[in-house]
Amino acid sequence: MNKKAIELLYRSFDDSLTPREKEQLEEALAGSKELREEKERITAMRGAISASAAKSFKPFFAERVMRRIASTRERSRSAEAFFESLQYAFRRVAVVGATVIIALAVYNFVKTGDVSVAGVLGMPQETLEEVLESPFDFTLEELL
Amino acid sequence: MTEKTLTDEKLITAAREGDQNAFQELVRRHESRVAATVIGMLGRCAEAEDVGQETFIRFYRGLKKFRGESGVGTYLTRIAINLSLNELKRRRRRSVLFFSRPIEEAYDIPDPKADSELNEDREMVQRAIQKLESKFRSVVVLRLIDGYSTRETADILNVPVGTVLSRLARAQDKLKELLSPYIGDER
Repeated sequence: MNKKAIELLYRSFDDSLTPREKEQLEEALAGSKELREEKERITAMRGAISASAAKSFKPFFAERVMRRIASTRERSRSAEAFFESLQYAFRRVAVVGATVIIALAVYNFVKTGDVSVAGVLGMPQETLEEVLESPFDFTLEELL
Repeated sequence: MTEKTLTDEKLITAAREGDQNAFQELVRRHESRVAATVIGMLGRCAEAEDVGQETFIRFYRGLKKFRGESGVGTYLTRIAINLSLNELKRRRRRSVLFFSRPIEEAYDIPDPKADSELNEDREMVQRAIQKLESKFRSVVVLRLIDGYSTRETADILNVPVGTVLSRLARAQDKLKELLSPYIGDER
């Protein structure tokens, strides 16, 4: 079969051909039994594919969709309610927490007069050596 | 006036205002289009029903954003095809992890009831489509099953028209090979 004619035949199903191309295809079809058979084969195949389309899901599909939408709405409503109560609780805890931190900071400042962050937060000022120093300060001879 | 006589636009307006019956009518009206797309892509299986439901749930959630630039059917097809492609990706991942046999076989478990309803030819065609790679399958479903034009298929898949044409040509070659005994019988 003529390669160009085959290509035109295939394209004719899905793309628009120019008048010249249409003419060429018509001529090729008129002159080739094989090409006409190929056209029939493709038409039959495309028809069979088109006819294989499913028409619906199982019965009561719309009802099942509506039930899922209703349960999704219910879930999102309870999630919203939970988030709102969380926000409400957090606001109160946050205010109390901030008040306690400020009160402790003022207390530490008044007590030590230290304006550094460590001083205001009441943290002991120790060097790394002091931290790493062994609390058991004795020698082996003393032990024996 | 009942929901059945209303246009899609009026049903959407009613659904936006919380009318559940209006949305249910939209589901009924467009079920066949979504079913053709999803079952064409995934075959008749439990996942197809899930993806079909999810398509309408996404549509419901996006009702406020729907501007009607494309028809409801095209909008739903776009959601359905994207969800189906995601499902195919998930299948592939699952098959790598859990199945030792080819993915087409692993999921080729037709619904017995649906199977009896389908004649042998339709069943054979559906099985052949399931053997195509997802990018070829999507153009076949949109162009040959849903009946969209080449341009519309390209828009839905967000690819150039040329890509749709070349994928269609390759898909048809493969389908011709798979369906040659059936096509031979027809003649």
